[in-house]
Amino acid sequence: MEAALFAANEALPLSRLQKLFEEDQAPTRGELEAALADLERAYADRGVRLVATGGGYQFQTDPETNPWIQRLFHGRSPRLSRAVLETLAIIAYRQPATRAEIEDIRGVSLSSGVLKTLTERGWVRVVGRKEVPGRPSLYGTTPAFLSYFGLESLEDLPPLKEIPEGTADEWLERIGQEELPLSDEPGEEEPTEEAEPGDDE
Amino acid sequence: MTAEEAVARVEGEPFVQLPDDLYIPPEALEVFLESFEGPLDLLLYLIRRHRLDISTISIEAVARQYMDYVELMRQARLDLAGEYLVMAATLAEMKSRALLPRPAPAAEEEEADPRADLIRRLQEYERFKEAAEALDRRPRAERDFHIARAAPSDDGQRPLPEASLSELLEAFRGALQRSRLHEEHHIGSQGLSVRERMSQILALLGDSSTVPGSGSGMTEAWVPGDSGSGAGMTEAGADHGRQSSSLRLEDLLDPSEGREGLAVTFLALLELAKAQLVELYQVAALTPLHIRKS
Repeated sequence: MEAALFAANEALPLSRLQKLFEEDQAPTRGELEAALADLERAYADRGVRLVATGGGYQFQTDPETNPWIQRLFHGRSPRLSRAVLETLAIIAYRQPATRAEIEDIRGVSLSSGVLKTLTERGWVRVVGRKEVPGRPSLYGTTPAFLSYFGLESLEDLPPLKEIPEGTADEWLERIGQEELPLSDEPGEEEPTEEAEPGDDE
Repeated sequence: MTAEEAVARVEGEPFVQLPDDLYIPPEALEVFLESFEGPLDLLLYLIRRHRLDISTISIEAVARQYMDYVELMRQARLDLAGEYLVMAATLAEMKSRALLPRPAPAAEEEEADPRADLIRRLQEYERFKEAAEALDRRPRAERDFHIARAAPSDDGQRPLPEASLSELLEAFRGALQRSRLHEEHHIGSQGLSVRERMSQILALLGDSSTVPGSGSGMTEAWVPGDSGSGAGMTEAGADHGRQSSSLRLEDLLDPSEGREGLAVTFLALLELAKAQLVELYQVAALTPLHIRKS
């Protein structure tokens, strides 16, 4: 199992680990879980840990080693643009979602560049079509999305902020008096991952 | 900012407030404006910045600022997404509604807040904007940790498979067979012309006029059923080749011509009837159809 977990391209769930064996020799789930727990313990203090993520198991580097390991990859990984993150968040919380639903929430058209980035990274895929005129594609997140963002499952997503009760005036007043969080200051964006300029057209 | 908090001094005086006529060079403005993710994002920013006493026309003030920004963007010749302009129109509409005198609402009803829809959209967008920021803050792969993998051994060159002569011939044969499936069919020009058939029918009815466009003035005498099928021929059909004043529909239809022939004949009859050159009639319901010159 140790070998399989290292060789695989993604987090492996128990079911796939079981399938590695011949049917008559396959261990039970209980045996697998016990073995995985052993593995987890064995790696607990090492530079590489066994982590439960994305509905399966995966070896990941200890975050504390990051400052050094990053140098292997020539510096910081590029930031994800706000368009990509907002679209990803909408799909994650509202899946399955159509392009129109995403555009409705963000108030801008969904550029093909954003969708391309999300699908190429394997975080988003088409999960079906909505049975309405036009039969638009429905988008959903993938297990790879979960493990990339350190989530065990969709339930692990932090809950959405509540829509405030009260009248419009109350909300306006409250918003107007909130301190502007730093991230709201425009102009702070570092170079982002988008390949194409003019992202949000 | 009070004088004590001033971070700079201009001409000896503490600098506490941006002058009203501050000039922002277009390049800086472009960076500033392009960092908004759309009209909702811009509006949220403006509302937060607004910090005035909230009154029922606060949207009006925000709308005014929004229009100013949009105008600045236009002047800086930024490519404005259509949505910005749609939002400008929406705000203009809301503003004008707020300014119009309103009839006193009926005693029981609460007047619907015209800003409600826009507020709802702003709130919904804000939730996801914050969710996106929370997602960004989570420890994630390639930035805060890395996925540990043992690279599979055939990362290098795969040995090329060997192929034998017989496999090669087999593959070629398969390709030949498949290419037959892609034969092209050439569609030749239509063998039977409706106009020609119209002339032929008229000729049979004793009209020597020809239908314009049916080719040469001389049409071949057309004798339906001559190809020997014999089907559908009746005694009346023994009038082969002779002109008669009326014909039966069945006599005109020649199955040997195939569906194309039948269709052409039928169309010809309809065209002739439309041109009022022939009449189609029946003695009684369900009796044979007759055709005669009109």
